[in-house]
Amino acid sequence: MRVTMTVNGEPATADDVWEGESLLFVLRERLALPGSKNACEQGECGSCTILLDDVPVCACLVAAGQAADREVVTVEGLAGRLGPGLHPVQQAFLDAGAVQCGFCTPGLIMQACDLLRRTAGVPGDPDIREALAGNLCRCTGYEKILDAVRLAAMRMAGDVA
Amino acid sequence: MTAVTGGSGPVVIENCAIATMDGRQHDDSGAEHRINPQAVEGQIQGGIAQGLGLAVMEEIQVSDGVVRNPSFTDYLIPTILDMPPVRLDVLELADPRAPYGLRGVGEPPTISSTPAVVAAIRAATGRDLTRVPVRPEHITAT
Repeated sequence: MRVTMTVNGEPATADDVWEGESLLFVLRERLALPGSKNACEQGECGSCTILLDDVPVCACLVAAGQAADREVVTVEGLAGRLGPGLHPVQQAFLDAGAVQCGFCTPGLIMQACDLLRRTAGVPGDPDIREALAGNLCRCTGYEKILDAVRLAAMRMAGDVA
Repeated sequence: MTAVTGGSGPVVIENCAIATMDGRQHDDSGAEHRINPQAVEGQIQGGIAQGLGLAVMEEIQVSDGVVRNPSFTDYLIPTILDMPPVRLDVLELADPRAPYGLRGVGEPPTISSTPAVVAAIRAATGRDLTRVPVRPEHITAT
């Protein structure tokens, strides 16, 4: 089947999509967007987190057909959204040292973006932990991921440069 | 050399759930100076997370040659909800036996944090606890 959707603000079409094909497969293998990572394929690790109509979902658990005529944002679409350059969450992950091997990073960034979009000001640590509880990270021990989300929140609230 | 303080109550045991508190790590990891301070800290924090996982969660269960828990559904690793804040004091002491005084940083906290957590559970429960991961039944003896 043919699936059309909006991906990172642009219309996108994928042909010959199998009915059981995941949105993640379509993004990575048909639309050349490998930023969303393919790891557990069962919604346990959060590495494939994207925004579907502004709601974070595991792209591995969404059938591609379910995304038809809807709006998808992947990590590739973040840079430039809130001004030139990287998204503040991306920049904060770099600056805080929240990236080690990097495999969980796109999913965590998408999830963090969602948290900060629906949070006024700087969220407390329990809120950050709750929001990111579905994203597994093997390398960092999460400490610098917390640092990054706090830093991004403060920058987006205008508290620090 | 790496030491993790443990054994004097940095764990809380409640309803057979183990919460680790205050994973304070002392690591003389650097040579005279850390080449990348942020990465040094990240390696230590990440190593502690893996050691904590081994202490109370992570175990590949095999029976008749089949791995019984081949997914993140039943092979658990620490999530951001499981990790305590990790406060670090990095001591920049050169290793006199190594070229340029170099020291590694990733493995020591991974290895040392597991016995530190288990020592703390021993202290809190009075049980021997001779294997990891420590499971609820090892504490309740049921």
